[in-house]
Formats: sequence, structure tokens, C-alpha cells
Amino acid sequence: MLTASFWLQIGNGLLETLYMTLVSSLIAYVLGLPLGVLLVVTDKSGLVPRPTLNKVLNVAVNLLRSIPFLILMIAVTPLSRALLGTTLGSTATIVPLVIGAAPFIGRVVESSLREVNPGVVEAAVSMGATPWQIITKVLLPEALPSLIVGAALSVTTILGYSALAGMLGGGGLGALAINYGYYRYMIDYMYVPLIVLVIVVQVFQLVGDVIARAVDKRK
Amino acid sequence: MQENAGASRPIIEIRGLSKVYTGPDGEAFNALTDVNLTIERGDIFGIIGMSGAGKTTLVRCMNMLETPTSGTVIIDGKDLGRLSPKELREVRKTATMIFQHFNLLMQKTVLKNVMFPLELVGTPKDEARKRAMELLEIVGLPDKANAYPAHLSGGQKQRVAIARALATNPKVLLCDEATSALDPMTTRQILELLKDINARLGLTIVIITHEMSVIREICTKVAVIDGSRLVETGTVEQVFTRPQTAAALRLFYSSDSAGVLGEGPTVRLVFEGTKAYEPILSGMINACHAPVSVLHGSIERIKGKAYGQLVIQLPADERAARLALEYLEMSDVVVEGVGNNVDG
Repeated sequence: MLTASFWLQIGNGLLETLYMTLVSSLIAYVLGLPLGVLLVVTDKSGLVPRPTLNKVLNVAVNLLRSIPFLILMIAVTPLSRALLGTTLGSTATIVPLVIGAAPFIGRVVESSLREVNPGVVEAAVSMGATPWQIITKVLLPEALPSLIVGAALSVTTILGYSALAGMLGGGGLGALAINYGYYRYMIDYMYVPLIVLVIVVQVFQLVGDVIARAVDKRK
Repeated sequence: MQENAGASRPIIEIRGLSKVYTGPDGEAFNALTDVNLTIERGDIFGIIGMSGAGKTTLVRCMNMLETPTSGTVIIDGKDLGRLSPKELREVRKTATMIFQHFNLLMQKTVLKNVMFPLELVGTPKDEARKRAMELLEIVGLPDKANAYPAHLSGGQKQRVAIARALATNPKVLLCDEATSALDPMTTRQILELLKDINARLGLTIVIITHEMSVIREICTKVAVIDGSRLVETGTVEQVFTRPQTAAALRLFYSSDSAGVLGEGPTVRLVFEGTKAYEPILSGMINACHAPVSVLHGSIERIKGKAYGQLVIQLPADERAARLALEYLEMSDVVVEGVGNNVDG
């Protein structure tokens, strides 16, 4: 039962899960952060109003967000194959994870940026700041605590998706729970990964909260 | 105009300025209607009006935070409507602004806030820091350099905002209800600071306010805005002693009580300078032998000079009222009708 090889499997599963989650989060942020910024600044009352672009982005985000992750994973298998040559394993899972998470992160970033006091943005405009300066020196720094809280939320959500990827040949703790725990009815393979996942989520959330509090100068 | 007219030209010239907002239902709302205004260099110019009169829209048109529907705004010889975005950003560095709610960067220290406009123009860090410290000296907050705005009082936040607004050596400082969120004591201190900066740096200050006390305290000239129109402009003394419009008059005292008591005509008396101390009222009562009611009275100081103002209701009896008015006119006080029976 709880043998050394069992723990080795759990350990490997954990590493795979962290690998999928963190790499996907990173790439998804590379796409989602600019997306969130664009959603805010191209708004009709935004810094650089571009109503058509704004509408297109909004529709695209809503479209992607409305596809259940399980279906999305199946739908993007040709893309994974084209990009990585395989649809199996942890690395292949990163493709659907990024596509699923980027629009979500876009929305999270958007809502953080919308919390920034418009008066502060206006003050920067009145000082002759360019739109780029306002994005990089006002919007993002002023929203930092909220962006970090949002990042903790995004990473834990991606962690949840990555576990789901275990159903379709992905790796990690989710795959262990499904392949051994569910299909072979090995109770320990079902519950130990579950407990480990719960702990990982708690740790991510805690770290996010601590950093967010440390960088928050508003109180 | 001469070649060298730029320097002697008024710092702010506004011609035929109108601003119309269109509501979501397509309904038009006139925020400003045909405003003409000239502000001379070095003035502390007050723009006063009730809320909703359009004064905030007016000041926001002076740096194009609000785009006028029609008309021209010329700052230091530059017609803002004809500038490219880049040129407009340059003008904004010469006409900076402070706000009712300060609008400081909450995630930056006081020092970093003051350095911010310099950072925008690419001033080297060391130089920017040195300049920011000088400015914090001027506004009296050098010891708060490393504090965050969240730990400052309202007055201190406004001082930081003033230091920040001065960083780029502007020629104009636009103050949009800058003291409206402050208590009377702090308001006085901030106004003192503005007066000091005006004298020391010679920059023009435009003050938007709904408080007459702010105008009296520091302004040299005042414009009264009412219902989207500029109705009166002049020196503060002129507008206080001889207001030409009901809107201006309304700002000097609450007219709620006037015209509702009794039947006699209501008049406003203004006593200039030393006359504020003469017993004019008792003289008037002796002359007309009838009782008068005092509806409102105060002594105001405009730049150190005392002005008494008194709103009284004359006797309902026509003969007595005429005698009273004759006496007042003889005593060389400014008399204006404000209520019923006398034209305002």
C-alpha cells in the first residue's frame, strides 16, 4: 500500500503538476496580461478608445471562456500535435491549459485595472504622460496588490484544470487519481493526490495573500 | 500683434467656449455656453459658482482633460485645439493641475510622487530626487519624503499634490476645488501656501471653488459662473461691493431669508473700509422713524480691508422707506435692492 514506490509516484505527480501549472500560468500571463490591459484601455471611455477592437476582444474572450475545459482540451489536440508532436504527457497539456487560462487571466487583470482610481489616471494625463507611460507607470503599479491576488486565483484555477487534464493522457497528480484511484479503484491513489492538491492550493493562496499584503501601501 | 507679443500676452485666453454633453438618451446638456475669459500673468484668478454651474468643466477645458464642443482655449500663446497629442502633452507640463481628492499615486512614496512628473520627462534620477526634495521643502513636508500617501492627512496630501504639480516649473497652476475636501483651518493653510507660491514663483493660479471665503482669502480677480454662462468678471473688490448680477449676489449671502418676512423692500448695504465702524443703521432709523429688520450681516475681509455687508428690510410704509434710502445714499454706502419691490 503506502510503499516507497507509491510515494515516489506521488512525488513525481506533484512535480509534474507544478511544472504544468507554473509553465502554463507563465505563458498564459504573457498573453493574458496584455489582453487585460487592452480590454481596459481600448474601452470607449479608456485611454486609447478603440471600440471595434474592444468589441472583438470581448467577444473572443467570452467565446473561449464559454467552452468547458474538458471539451477545449479535446478540441485543441490537433494544435498540440502540430506544436509539440504529441497530445500526451504533461508538456502537451500546457497547450490547452494556456488557451483555457489566457482569457480567464485577461478578465482577472481587467478587473484589477478597473479598480485603479480614475482620478489618478487623470492626474497623470494632466501631467502630460503618454498612454504607454500611464499603463506602465500608473495602471500596473497602482493595481499591483490586486494583480497579485488575481495571480493566486489564476494559478489555483490552472492547477484545477491541470488535474482535469489527467483524464486525457496528461500527467501529474490528477492523472494518478484518475488512472489508479478511479479506474482501478485504489483508494489511496484517489485520496492522497487529493490531499496533496488541497495543500498545494492552500500554499499558493497563502503565498499570494502574503505578497499582496506586503506590496499594498494603501493602508 | 507684435513679434514679441508672446511675453506680454495674457497667459490664458478663452473665446466662445461651449461644451455640450450628450446623455445616453441623446439628450443634450449645456455645461458651458459661449464663455469668454482672459487671465493675466501672475494673477490668482478665482472662478466661483454653485455646483453644476460648469466651473469644473471650464477648468478642465484649460488643459483639454475635457474637449470643448466649440471655441478656443489659448494657453501661453498656444491654441490647444490645434495641437498634436505630443504638443498638447508639452503644454500640460506648463499648466499643471491639483484636484479635490488629491489623486496621488497610492503605491508610491511622497518623494516618488513628486518625482513622477520628472520621471515622465526622463530627468535623471539624482537630479529628480534633488528637485523633489526642494519642492517638499517649499510645501513644508521634507520629513514625509519616505511616507506613503495613505499615512498623510488631507492637508498634507494636497501639499504633496502641489509639490508634484510644481515639479515641471509650470506657468499655470489649475486648482479644481482643491480645498473643498479640507477643513477650514487646513483650507487656510493651503491657501497661504498657494499665495506664497504665487508671490515666490510668479506663476498664475486659477482657482475653481464654490466657497466665497476662498475667493476673498487669496484671489485678485474673480469670475462668476452661473447656469453654464460666465455672468460677471472683475476684481474681487468690484464684484463684492457692486455685484452686477443676482448670481454674484447670491454667493455673498444666503438669500433664503430675504423677501419672505414682512412686506418692505429688501436691500443690501456694503460699507467699505472705515465706514464699517460707523453707526449708519441707527442714523437711518432716526431719519425714517420706523423699525427695520436685519436679515443678514457680516464683516468680510478682502485682502486685509474690512467690508461690512448688511441685508435689511426697509419699512413697509413707502414714505419711511424712501427716507431711509435717502439717508443711506447720503451716507455713501453701496445700496442695492435684492428682494421684492426693488430691482436687483
